Amino acid sequence: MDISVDKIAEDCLKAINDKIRNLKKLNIIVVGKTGVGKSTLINGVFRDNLAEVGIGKPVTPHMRKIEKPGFPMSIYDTRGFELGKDAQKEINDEIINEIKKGVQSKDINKAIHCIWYCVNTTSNRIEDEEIKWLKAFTKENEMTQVPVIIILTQAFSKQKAKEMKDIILNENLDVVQVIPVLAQDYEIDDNYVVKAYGLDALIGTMRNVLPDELQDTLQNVQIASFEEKKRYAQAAVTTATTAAFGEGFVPIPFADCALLIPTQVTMIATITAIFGLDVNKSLITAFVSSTLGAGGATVVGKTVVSNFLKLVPGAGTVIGSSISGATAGLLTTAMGEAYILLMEALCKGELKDSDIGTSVGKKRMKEFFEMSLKKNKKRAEL
Amino acid sequence: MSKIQKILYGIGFVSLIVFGVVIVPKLLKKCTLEVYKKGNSNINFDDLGPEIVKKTN
Repeated sequence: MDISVDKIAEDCLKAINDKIRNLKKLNIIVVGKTGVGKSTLINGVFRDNLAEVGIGKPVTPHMRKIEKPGFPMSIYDTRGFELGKDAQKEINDEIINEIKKGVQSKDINKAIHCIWYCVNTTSNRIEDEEIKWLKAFTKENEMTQVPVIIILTQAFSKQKAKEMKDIILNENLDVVQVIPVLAQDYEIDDNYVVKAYGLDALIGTMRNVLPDELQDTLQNVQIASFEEKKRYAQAAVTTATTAAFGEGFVPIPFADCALLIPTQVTMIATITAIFGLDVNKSLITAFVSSTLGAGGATVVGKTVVSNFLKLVPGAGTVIGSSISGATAGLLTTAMGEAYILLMEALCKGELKDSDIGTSVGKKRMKEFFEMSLKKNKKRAEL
Repeated sequence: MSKIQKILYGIGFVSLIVFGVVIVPKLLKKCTLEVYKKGNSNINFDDLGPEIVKKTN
């Protein structure tokens, strides 16, 4: 069977583009007074500096919708919440209207999926009018049940954040969670810095409240929890490995290759979408050729031998299928884990786009694959 | 290999390719989500707080 690197790279790229094009749109409304740190929060949680680079289009007198072409999410940013009761009432009505419009459209891409209510922790207290607003809003939201998360921004003091959280929780509001956050590192002086925190907890909460159709989108757009991305990507590898193991067992000679490639292509596309990186053909080609070069020859050899064994009825088929299943599983795990390492290196800037076609980039990719192959071989031997 | 055997292999091969291209990606998506959800740990919201560290450079 002819395994063309170019063809696999093209299939991968097509699957990646399809996957990203088909991501459902995530819509979040962010409420809070001017200066509470909404933009910093948005930029700390989502990639591409959305609050700065995104195009803000007014959708109501107090709300603008921030979007970016090709970016699978919209932020509805409220304005003028600090202007008093009348403005707050109007904002309440505009939000409820927008929620209802989304429900009526019966289109997940137009629905409002979550509301973030931001309170500045440095203000020391949550105003009575804010509590009243939240009570009125959550009551009106009873029917539509859009999850509301209260975010205590600029929470430099754990104690103050806890006090504020307790006050809010005592009001028995219908909210999903109250989360203190510091959206970006804060320099105290030349020597010390307060580390950003709480954003990963916000992503964890979002993960729990969003429907299944939006989990891919959430991971694609978020930059707050790298661990969450890795965990989701690892789940894609585990699933693909199980499928590949089963496919290798198919007793029809060489049929496993035909099944294995779509499985691995789907896995690569899923991981790429999770990391939200722009991937081009040269990267995929370099990755596939590096992995085939590094230990791939042995794997291809085993595949050929096991498939010829499958031609021998009885014991030959059993032995051939077993070798083929184990090889397919091992190859898929190693490939998936190496690709996660590659995505991680690109995200962290340890490997640059310009390195990809060079010998340095190819060497790193080869190392990732060999490392994963070695680790999983050891695991299989245990 | 007999003629019937060859035909059966052929039908099996084509069916598997269709299964692999159409069904497997959908199954993978569903199962990936299940595996991911199973691994979700509870977040300790009470433990969230700032950490002051020395600048590295």
